[in-house]
Amino acid sequence: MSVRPVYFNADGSVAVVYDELGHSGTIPAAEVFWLTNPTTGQDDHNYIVLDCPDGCGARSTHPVGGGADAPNVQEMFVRKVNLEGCACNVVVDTDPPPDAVAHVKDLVTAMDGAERWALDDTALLARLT
Amino acid sequence: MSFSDVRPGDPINASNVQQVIDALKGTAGKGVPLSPTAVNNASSYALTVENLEATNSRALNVLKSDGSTLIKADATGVTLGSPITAPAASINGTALQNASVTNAKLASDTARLNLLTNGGFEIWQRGAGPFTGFGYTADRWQNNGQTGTSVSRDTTNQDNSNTCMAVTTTAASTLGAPSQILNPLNDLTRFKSLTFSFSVRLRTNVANAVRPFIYDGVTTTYGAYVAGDNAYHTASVTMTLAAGATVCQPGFNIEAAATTYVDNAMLVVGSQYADYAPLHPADDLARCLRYYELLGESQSGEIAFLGYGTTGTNGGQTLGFKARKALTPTVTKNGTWVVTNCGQPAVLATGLGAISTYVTVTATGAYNANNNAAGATVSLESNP
Repeated sequence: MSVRPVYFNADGSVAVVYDELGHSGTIPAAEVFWLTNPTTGQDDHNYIVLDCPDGCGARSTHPVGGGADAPNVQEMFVRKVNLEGCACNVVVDTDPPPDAVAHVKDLVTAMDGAERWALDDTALLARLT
Repeated sequence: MSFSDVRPGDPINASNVQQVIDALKGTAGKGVPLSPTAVNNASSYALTVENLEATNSRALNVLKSDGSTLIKADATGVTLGSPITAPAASINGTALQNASVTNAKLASDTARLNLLTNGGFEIWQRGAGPFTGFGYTADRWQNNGQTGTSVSRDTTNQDNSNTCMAVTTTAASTLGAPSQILNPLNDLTRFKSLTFSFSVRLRTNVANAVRPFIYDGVTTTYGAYVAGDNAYHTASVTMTLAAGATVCQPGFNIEAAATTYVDNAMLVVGSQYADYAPLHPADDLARCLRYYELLGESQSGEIAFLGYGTTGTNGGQTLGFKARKALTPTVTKNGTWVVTNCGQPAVLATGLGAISTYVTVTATGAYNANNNAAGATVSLESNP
């Protein structure tokens, strides 16, 4: 489908697969990037970029709405915001997990509508704590 | 025993009269049913029965031996016993009351709208497989990742088409094969509480291993298992989605180690499943492109960023989609592109109909980035 997250580790690293070529691996938390506007230099909280760990050159830009895999992509955004705060600084890393969930849910709603939210909030919070 | 004719001049015996009475009463072993075959009159009916009582006009009541109705004719009309047998093509459609034939009365060969995308398993934009693990296989058909399940495009064992889906399973499982999820955002709100029928052609080599299902997020309804005779059979299942349905997900379970071929699926509204009716190829592809498409796949160098820039500047362009996406897609730059004096192309923003992309110049001069390399494409994917 894309270079997509399939498992989230406690240290923020993300296990990914790249279906088209059957590649897989783990991306460190520091390499789960926000998309950066090349003109302003500002990070964009609507997109996360994942490079294939295989080094094949594939790069997926995931929208906060979920794109190819709504449950896992949305959880990836929540975990990143919860771990390091959002690119927009509305949520910072010291805020409690529900703030990260609420913020990402707002972004999802703005992008693809409220019905796009694909996660169970209770179960998600249990995984975050 | 037949009636005896009475000729002019013959004496009338009591036995002659009793013969008529026995026939009218239906005395066992006496007389014969009325059979006026000798009537020879062009204007009169051989048999006319009229009840002059105006309210009910009960004219005729013919019964089976068990007392049930064969033919009844009275003021309410004509009632016939079951089954009614009529010569082929003898009933004119004008005899039917307008808007009285329900969907359920029409046979499966009646053309119905297929709600599936790629129901014929003809389009495999992600490649021919084999696909293992959770993910998409043929366009819009999602494999749930059951261990030991492998899905491939097959061009040898199809059912009256170009391609089918081949699924091999190595162990018994409960959810071992692909299904298709209708878009809950754009579709399901219109589908809740409706009755759906899903049909699919299945061929497998193990009995009681493969059966169709529909899942609505609340319950799963299964159809019957198909025979394990390695021949294609039509499998079907009908389900009314719950008011609280969260998905409409038709698919098929493979619940044993088996080799299964899958082709020609239909999902229609109503309680009667439909035989497969292929879409025009253009329409078939257009449905698939709503969820997944490749850019730059038809020719190397199809996409190029060209210009002159100084180090650190950016050159961008907008790439339009072949089809508007159902939802904001994930964008994947596949492969390593050919670049001169610039970095690899990157995404700036994503919409439903286009993406903004750019390259950053790494050395002052003419720059060039293009997909003139094996596997260098852009894929766009928005899955429900």
